[in-house]
Amino acid sequence: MTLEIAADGLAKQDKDNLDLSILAADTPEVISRQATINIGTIGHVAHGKSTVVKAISGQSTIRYKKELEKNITIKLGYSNAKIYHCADVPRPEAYMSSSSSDKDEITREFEGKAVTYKVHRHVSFVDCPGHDVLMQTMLNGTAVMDAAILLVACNEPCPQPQTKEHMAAIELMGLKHIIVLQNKIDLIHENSAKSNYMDIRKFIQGTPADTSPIIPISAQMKYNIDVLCDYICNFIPLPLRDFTEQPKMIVIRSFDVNNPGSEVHELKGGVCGGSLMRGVLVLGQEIEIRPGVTVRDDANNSQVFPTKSKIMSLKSDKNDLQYAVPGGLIAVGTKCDPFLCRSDRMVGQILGSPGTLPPVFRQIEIRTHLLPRLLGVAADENKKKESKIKPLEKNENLMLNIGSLSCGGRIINVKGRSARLMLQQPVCTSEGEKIAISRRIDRAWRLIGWGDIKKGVKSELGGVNDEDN
Amino acid sequence: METYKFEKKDVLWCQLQNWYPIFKRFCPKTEFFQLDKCALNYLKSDGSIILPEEEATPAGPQPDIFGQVDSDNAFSDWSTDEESEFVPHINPVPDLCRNIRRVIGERARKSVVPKLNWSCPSDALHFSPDQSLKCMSPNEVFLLLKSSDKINHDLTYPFENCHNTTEADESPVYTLALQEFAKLAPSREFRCFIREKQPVAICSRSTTFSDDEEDFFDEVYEAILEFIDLQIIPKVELSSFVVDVYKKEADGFLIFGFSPFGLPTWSMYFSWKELYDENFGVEEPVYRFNEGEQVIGLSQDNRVPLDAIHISQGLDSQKLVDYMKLVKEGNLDGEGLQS
Repeated sequence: MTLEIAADGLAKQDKDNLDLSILAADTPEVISRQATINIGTIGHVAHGKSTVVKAISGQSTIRYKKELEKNITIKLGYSNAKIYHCADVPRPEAYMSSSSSDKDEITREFEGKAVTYKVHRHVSFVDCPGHDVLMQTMLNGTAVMDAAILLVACNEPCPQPQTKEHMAAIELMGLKHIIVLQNKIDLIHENSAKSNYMDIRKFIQGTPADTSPIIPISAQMKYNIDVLCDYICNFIPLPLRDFTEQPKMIVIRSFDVNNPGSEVHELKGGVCGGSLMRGVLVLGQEIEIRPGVTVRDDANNSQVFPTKSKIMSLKSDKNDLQYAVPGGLIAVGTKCDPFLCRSDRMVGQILGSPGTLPPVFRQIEIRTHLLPRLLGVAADENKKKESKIKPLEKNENLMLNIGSLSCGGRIINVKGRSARLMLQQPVCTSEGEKIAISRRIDRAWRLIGWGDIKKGVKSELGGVNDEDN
Repeated sequence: METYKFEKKDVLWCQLQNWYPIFKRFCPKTEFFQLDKCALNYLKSDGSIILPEEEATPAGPQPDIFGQVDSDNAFSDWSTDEESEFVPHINPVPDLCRNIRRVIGERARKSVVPKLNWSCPSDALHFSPDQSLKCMSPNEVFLLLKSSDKINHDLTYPFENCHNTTEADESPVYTLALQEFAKLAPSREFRCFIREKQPVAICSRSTTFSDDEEDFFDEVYEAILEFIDLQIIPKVELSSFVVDVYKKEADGFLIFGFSPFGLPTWSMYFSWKELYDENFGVEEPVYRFNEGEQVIGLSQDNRVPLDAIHISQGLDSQKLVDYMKLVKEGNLDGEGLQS
């Protein structure tokens, strides 16, 4: 089957004849425009992390104003790349990579013959740690990454202290498919590279990377990038996703794209950026964002209005989409009042099809798991006593992290391991979700434990806050 | 690189109660309340945050709203337990609560925005019912103040990075300011850096990408510079400082605050190294805004526990080890933790 090519040189997507049951993480129309595999890149900055990502994606993470397109592009430490394969060329030269917006077929010369490489995978590199993905994993146990690349520099002894930490982070995220890159091999002699390779082998024994490939590369010289592409295609399994589920996206940024002086008739809608957790979003479809907007009247009565709107544009990086699937970061242009999206007001909210989203809670009852003491002071015997965590107290105000949302919560009542909390803001979540609990200790919010949501008191949802009203 | 050393007097000058009389016409209506020892102790107190005014919370079991009560969580006998542990609640700051309530009652929108000497608790918006600084009760004021790292910094290290630490270490007079609440657009807010009485850099205070921000800036650029040159610089005693201004939809500006020229003031889209450079912005002030590429502003600080920041940035490996142990021992899901 040949693909129809749209005006932008990428495969045409037809939202009107979309069969969700046959979509996969390597469907040609999908990977022509959007990444479907999330790979965490873990390593010290000095070990050349950004150079590696640049070598694969062909993108520099720093772009200058002049090159910038007047477009809604959002970058949050995500870089996308297309990986290509050509069956007529031996491995590893059979694999190559290019930028996310490059054509699906690239013709190159190989041993005097013209050969055609076809797009095989479209991956999104998620820079971590230091990224909200890790926070989410840590606080709520949700994993967004399908695989990881661990970067070590071979001109330094292995393991460096950070390498140990990075391995622990990989463990924390529960990642199983890990590719180890031995970078900067252009800087050392072959013998040193070999002995460094053995050190890495030894270090990864007994870790989640036990059976991982170790690829010697030079990101600077673009050496062995094809080998890395080969491993991305053949070592990392294609994630199995059920595209027929109801879509659910967690908003991680929101903004408006209007000039502050715009007249009302010129107003474009607000934009929500985030990663789709499941399901498919389609251009033109009706959506709901929960909890939406909380309005307080002069008597301090508040009411929650879920935002109902329509998808006006879908983008992944620079590519326009007719439909979006899980993978990478997508920008959803809506018809919402842009004021609602301004300055990340929507962060932590959930976007999906109307009527399919979890309930909005005002009060929750949780089963608590308090830590015995604050993290990080266990080794210090003197501090052990003061770092002991006191039980939850009635009427105390805590900080709760629920999904990507953080909000205040006041203990209404506590009994044994059950606690009932009044939430400072309405929260869209489900029974069974895990929340992180922090208390203000030593002038900072410190993690004191977790809770499982057992039940909740649902918030009355106000009439539709429609884009047209 | 020459550093502009700011002194304690610079920091003192930047206090809201100090400059408010000079720039009153550019400020929202503000009332000030000096904080007494009790109020300061309450604001500085560490540990569980209990708000001053007792909340009208439903007591006892409420099977009506929570539905059927499970047999394993003993909700049904809560009321008896509670009475035996009952400790009467005493408001530590009754006078201040009364004053806050009075000001709120007098305002048209029945709300105020709280500020301390230098900062407003803008890093604690997730503790507000509608993600704004709008407070409609004394408890809301105190929850924002006590949850904020910025307010905490005001209370604990106001003279951080000052260069004349030899001066007698007197603490500033702490004052709670209650400003009138107004709905503002972040893209109209600008941070201006004035070095040696000359504006050298201006940036948008908006941290998200706005399509036409550059065009908007072209429109208001001259007006901002004129406002700084005519209204601000001649009236400020300091030669170098940072000022936040807001371009109103109608003519004119608001002034949000002054900060010392140097860390810990947030330099936003600039680096302090650039700003200290005597050639930077001399010909013409440099302007920057979010071009959609940066990750500026969506700081996780104060929105996630400090431990998560330490772990994710690799700042405290002991915490990671501790955490991994908990995970490995299955403590996060099991019954092994404190119960």
